[in-house]
Amino acid sequence: MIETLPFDVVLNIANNLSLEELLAVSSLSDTWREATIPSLHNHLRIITKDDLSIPHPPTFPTWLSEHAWYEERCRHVLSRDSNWRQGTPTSTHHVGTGEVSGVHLAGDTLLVGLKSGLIEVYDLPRNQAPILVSSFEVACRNSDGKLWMADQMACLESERILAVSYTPVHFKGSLILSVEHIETVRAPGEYDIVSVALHKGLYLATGGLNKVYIWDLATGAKLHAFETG
Amino acid sequence: MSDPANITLVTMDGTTFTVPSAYLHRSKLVQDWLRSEGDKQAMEVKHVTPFVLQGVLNFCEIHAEDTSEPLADPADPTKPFEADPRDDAFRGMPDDQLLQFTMAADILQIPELVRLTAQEMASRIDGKSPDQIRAMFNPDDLAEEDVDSDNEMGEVGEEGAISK
Repeated sequence: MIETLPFDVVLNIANNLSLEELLAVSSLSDTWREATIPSLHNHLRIITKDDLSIPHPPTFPTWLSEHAWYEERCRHVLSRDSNWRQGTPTSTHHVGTGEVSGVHLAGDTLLVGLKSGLIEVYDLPRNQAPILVSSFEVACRNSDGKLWMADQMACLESERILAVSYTPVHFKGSLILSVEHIETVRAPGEYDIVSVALHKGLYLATGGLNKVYIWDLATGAKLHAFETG
Repeated sequence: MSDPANITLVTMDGTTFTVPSAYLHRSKLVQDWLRSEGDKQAMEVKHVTPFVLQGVLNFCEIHAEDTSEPLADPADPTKPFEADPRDDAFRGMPDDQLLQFTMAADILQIPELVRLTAQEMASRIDGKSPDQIRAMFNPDDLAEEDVDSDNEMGEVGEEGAISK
């Protein structure tokens, strides 16, 4: 019965709850999750600092680094000159069968976004050349005919990827992708996003001018925007 | 034609309550009904049991003479909630009853009662896990022996019928 309370009622109850209580009741039902967002919003500065451990060393520097990722276990360094590259101290391998728009490294998996609208998935075995595992088309065009492409990506789970297009001349926006289909358009595209990360159901994005945005991944609702530094 | 000094409310099972209209001047639902359909015999209050409606009307009677400005928004941060000793009945009531009054306050759109019940609900959620909260407010999970005493109140909000 408590799960089926009307939205407005839950909104009023949530208004009287502490942060810990909000986090507890937000799992009661969809209504509770959505109706607690405005109240959680009021607590979000506290969440980002303590409860959700964002920013959290060493995640934070990696997340903010614009052009290089270092993954200790794999000993892979990605850097960009004319194209994105992936390499070790003793060898360098090209990745991307075309002009690269963005990369994301998650464990042994490397995602490469291409300006042609493809995302390529590479396996990175230790000290060996990357192996192309799969690639799928994410190109979709906006009404101006501009190509959507993945500039930034984050792994939602093994088969699903959050991809963001931020290049101003292209179609801006965020998509949840899977190999089979483009699932949903989520966070809006009117933000200048240079880096994305996922954490506990939140979608984090850093933008130009030191802005950080946080969306609820499940609903696409923007929870917060604040300035860093 | 109903007496404008009084209003008759009919609950989900047909029980009628006739009270002075002044009791319900803070209920937006009743005020809207008086404006649009006040010439009818009685106002139906769906999804509210006689037991709960009686309790709501007691609250309205206690506060009928209040001179405070009607609360436009129960969540108005400029008007902090202050416990009123006259509302102690809500603080002592069982969890499942409180839930029914919370919904009735929403149905009848009485901002003062919405705030009171929401505040009391929130204070009972304090420190509980989601499973504990479910168990508290879901009488369906209670033992059979509790069902008889609950019967006179009936069931409210089954199948989420109240949800928008």
